[in-house]
Amino acid sequence: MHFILLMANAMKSELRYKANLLGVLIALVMMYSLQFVFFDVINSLVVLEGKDKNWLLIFFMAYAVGSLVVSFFNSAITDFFGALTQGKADMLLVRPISLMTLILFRWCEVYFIIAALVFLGVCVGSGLISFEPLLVNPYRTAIFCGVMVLGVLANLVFLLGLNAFSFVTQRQLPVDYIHLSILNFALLPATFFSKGLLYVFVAVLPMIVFASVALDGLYNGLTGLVSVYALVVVVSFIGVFKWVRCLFGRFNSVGG
Amino acid sequence: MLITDLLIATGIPFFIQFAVWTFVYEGASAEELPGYSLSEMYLYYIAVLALGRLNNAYDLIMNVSNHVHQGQLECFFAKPISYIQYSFFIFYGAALLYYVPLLMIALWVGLSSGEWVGAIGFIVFSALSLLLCFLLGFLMSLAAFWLTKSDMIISFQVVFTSVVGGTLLPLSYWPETIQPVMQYNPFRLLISGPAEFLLRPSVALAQELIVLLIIWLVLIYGACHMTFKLASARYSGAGG
Repeated sequence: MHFILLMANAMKSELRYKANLLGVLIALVMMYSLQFVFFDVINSLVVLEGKDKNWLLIFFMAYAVGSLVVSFFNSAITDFFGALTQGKADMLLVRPISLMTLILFRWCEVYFIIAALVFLGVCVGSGLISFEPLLVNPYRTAIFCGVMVLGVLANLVFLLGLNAFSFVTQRQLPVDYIHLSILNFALLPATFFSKGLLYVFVAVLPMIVFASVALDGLYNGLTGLVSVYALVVVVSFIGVFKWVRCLFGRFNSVGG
Repeated sequence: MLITDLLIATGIPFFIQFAVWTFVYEGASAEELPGYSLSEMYLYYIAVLALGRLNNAYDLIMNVSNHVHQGQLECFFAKPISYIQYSFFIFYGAALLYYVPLLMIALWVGLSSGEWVGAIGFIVFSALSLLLCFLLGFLMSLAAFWLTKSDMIISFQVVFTSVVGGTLLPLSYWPETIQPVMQYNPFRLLISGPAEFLLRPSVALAQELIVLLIIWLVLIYGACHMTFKLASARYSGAGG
């Protein structure tokens, strides 16, 4: 259970700077809360045919929580490859901890998870969202949660896949910046795309439609879209996992 | 970096807003929508995203924080120019390149509509907003004298300019309870204020923006001086 120790250490490290931690939390929750107001405004202006009135707000909540969890891993992955390319990670690589645990948790920033929980509290406390769709059918709620996990995996595929090039180039690539910019597309609900384009995104960049697919699972159960999404994400995650291990074997740790 | 900024940092948010508002305007009846027409909405987002790139105090905050945390301020105190002036010229020089897209927008609006009041006002308010942006960024960066990490300052800078400033939503679309905050906060003068004037120039709006600009410039300049004095007194130069 190394990852629990690593997360606990990250939390202790954050708690050393209490004012900074509190300020970052307030800023993050404020940003997502104001974006939530933006979606509430959009929701009041449009009528989505055949959709629950709540649909857009639950969509944004799913996006916000998903992207905060992804940020938790993003910061860890970015800092790992930063340390790696500067030759500072060698001491860690010789320890009996799995490579993936090190990449995903050694430099994680726990405040993103806390911000996600606080934001969920804001959604509940605001009274703007009716959580009925999440409580009606446990099977569909489980699918929704499952797709959310797959959404995080889809983001990890992108982050790990591109960052793994650092093993070969010995240089850190601006993957976090590119990822953050592309992830912004996940703010667009699937209703904005044609069905064909949606399947293209599922196949090529599944990370940008995770919230839409999660909502599809919540309202319609195990649909073809959800199944294809699960298949694409699982296959690509296994592929990237092997790709990272393969490139790690070529890493010479010279740095520079 | 400029190309990356324009293509990714500006292009993607614009595409998202373009898609969202096209969807909204196609799905809603015109009388439900307060404020702008769809084409005005596109222009609003082009303008605010360009202003967001211009009025970006990220580097300023990072530089001041690094100087404080690494104990490098003495070098600047020895220069024949005050630290605030030095930071100002560095900030202005770095921002100038991002002024070109604003000039192009103003020129395009002026030529296409034949209406130059909004375009000229946009250029003038944008230039003044850069001064306010510097003072706001400098004031925020002074928190580095009291904080060991600067993540919090950067996070607030991003939230204030991107959301409170009006990049997310034009003023008239915010719920009435939030509108006063959105209307009178200084970040509006950096982002949505000049864009509003470009779209709907009027004497009343110009007066409102000028009065707000003067009040905030005086207040923040005073706050910068007082805080810098206090901060310099507690600065040990040891870094850390």
